[in-house]
Amino acid sequence: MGKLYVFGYNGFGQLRPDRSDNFLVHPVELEATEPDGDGDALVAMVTASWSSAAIFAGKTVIMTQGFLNAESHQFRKFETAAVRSSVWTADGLVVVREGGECVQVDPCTGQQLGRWNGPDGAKFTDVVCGESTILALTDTGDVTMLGDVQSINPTPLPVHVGENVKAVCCGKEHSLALTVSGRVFSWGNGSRGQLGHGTTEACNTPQVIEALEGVTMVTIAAGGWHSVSVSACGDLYVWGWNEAGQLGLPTSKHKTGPSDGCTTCTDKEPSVSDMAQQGDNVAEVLVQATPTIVDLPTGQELSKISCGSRHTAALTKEGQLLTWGWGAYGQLGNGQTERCEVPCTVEFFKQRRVTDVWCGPWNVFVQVDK
Amino acid sequence: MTTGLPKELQGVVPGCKKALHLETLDKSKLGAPFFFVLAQSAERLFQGRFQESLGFATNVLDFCWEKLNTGHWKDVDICWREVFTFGSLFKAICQYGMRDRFNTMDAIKTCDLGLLMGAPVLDNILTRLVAVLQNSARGTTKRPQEQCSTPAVASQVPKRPRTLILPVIDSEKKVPRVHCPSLKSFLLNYMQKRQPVIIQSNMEHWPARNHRPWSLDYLRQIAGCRTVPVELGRRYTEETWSQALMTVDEFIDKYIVQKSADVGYLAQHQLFDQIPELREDIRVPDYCCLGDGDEDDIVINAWFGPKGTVSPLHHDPQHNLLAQVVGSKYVRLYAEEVSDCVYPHEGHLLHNTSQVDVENPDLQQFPRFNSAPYLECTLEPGEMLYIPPRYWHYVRSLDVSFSVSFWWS
Repeated sequence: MGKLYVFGYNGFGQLRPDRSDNFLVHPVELEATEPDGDGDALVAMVTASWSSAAIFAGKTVIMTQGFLNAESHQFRKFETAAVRSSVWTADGLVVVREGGECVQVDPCTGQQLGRWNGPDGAKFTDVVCGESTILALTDTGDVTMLGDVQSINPTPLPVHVGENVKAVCCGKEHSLALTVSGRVFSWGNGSRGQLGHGTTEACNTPQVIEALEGVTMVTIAAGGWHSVSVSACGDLYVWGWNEAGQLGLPTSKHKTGPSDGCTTCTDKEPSVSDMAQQGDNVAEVLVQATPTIVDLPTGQELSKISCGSRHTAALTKEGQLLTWGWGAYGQLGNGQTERCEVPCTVEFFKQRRVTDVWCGPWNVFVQVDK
Repeated sequence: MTTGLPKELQGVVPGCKKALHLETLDKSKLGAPFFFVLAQSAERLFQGRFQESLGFATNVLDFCWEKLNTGHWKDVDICWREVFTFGSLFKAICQYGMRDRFNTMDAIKTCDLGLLMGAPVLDNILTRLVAVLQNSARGTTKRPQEQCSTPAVASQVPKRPRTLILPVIDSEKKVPRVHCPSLKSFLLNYMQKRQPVIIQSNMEHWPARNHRPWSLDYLRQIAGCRTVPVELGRRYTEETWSQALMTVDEFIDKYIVQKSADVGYLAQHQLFDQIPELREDIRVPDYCCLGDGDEDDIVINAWFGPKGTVSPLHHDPQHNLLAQVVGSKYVRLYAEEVSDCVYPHEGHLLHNTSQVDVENPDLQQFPRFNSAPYLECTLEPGEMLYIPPRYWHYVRSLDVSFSVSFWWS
């Protein structure tokens, strides 16, 4: 059993349809119940767009909130066949079912509106979306690009990675793939260094990130213009745009030291980029084109990461939640609207055990143990 | 119909939501959720519910900001820049309407950001709004909230500083000077022959050189509170180069008056679109009407900075008249024919820029550079330099300088 908490942008009521606040700076509870109202179900996943959210309470109940059917602050709840992955696209809600079909559904009713065929009949396992790119992963480890579902023969286009892929994710203009062997590939626009190839050049086809060779990655996430991965040893790697501190690197010249960093953190040790020495003047980083490690307060290990447009959230193995980056809509969950360029533990969850986290573009959904 | 708008704005801002004509915006490109938020901001604005309107306007601006930063700037659909202007309009009006929380300078800055990043709507409404706001601000305070802590020094720009060291110009390489040629003469002898030339005595009628002479004090008075883009760092070819936004007052304080170690340059900015009052002080040279292009397409840029600003050797696709209003500049010119001696960068973005540091060339890396013929000059106040299309040019300011460039086809 779990409890769901939400914070960040709520302009469409996508966090709490009953609240007119434009944003929530403190985490508030969101009840995710089974149809028979039997207390809080375990939320399997959340997918959020700028204006809406879909919460999968158990695998068969979907709650959708926000801008639905051309109206704001809406709320719907319906049952559906078991879902294993889901994403909002420009056209609506796309879902991968447990059976491996990838379909578009009506976000108000769950009615199926269209369907993609897997390449050579393969089953889909995962679907993700960027600004205009929809990527899907199959059970054969292949990456495909889904086109417009309205077309007569909606057949996905293969994306050649050359290795068995176990996860994909998209930023606004780039894509990342994590292979079964723990290598990370990237492709798309690179103007903010989000591809991690050491330049700001674009890359049309998936290229392995050379700087990460030799390190086994276990999880990846992509924000608007930044990329994050965690290694088997639990180290956090970041690259891409740092304009709001979303990488956890300094955005302005300042000294590192025990009393520096985010003023809302009570963590004992500050985050120190591996480029800096204690007490030195740290140069600001706007674009990090090659992956770099970011140390975490109190040396915790991460189990999951998730990115919004310009912020990052991370779950530690001990069940703590860290956030950093853009905070203007309270998406850091610390009661402030300042940006934070250092991963900080979210106070609200310090006495709780966080079990999962999902980021929308300007908000965060958190599941805790009941 | 009573509107919730502050009285002073009622002359320049439409009186109701209908007059905004939001329905002419392309909803299919903007998306229904975004359009909803935009409409919500507008509705509450005219109801005088400024706090709520401001919240939605901020959503609009933040969402637009992300769109403007996705892909290449030139590929961004203009509708996003148009709605950025609407968002700025609503936000500025709300800030002005909530003067217990914001001051007029905040509203002016909002207008400026809209002018810098947006595209004009409602007959360039932001320009008209900012003029009203500036007048309102002048009635109370003259300076923005943040005062510069150092005292103003030498606010008059001297005609020629006594300590100015002019570069020695090789007499054989001098750019020719001509006194106000006829249109026909200029076309035949210079434009068609792709010959650089300095035109003298063609700025005497400019108010900026005449009865409203430009000085630091004058610029502060007209535009001190206006936000402008400033290039920081020695030159745009270097890694440490960046851009920042600041008010004209802040720019003058930090980069012109103070002997700052960092170089700040208000460069290649269409300042005269943003600040029409300054546009009144300059005159478009008649020569810009020669050629194929439309008069309306003439691009006018401001170049205002301290001593030591450098524009690395590069070329532009159009004809250029570089007019010196204040201060002097050293200019060196290389013809298109010797392009391979100036080692242009490879790659799409910088192919019009030379790799060579003109006044300190690395002859090991660029051996042919010294063999290339060139022209050079010290461009003085009151003179304008004609630079033909694709003619390589390098510019360094010799003292505090304000130039105005005119690009035409």
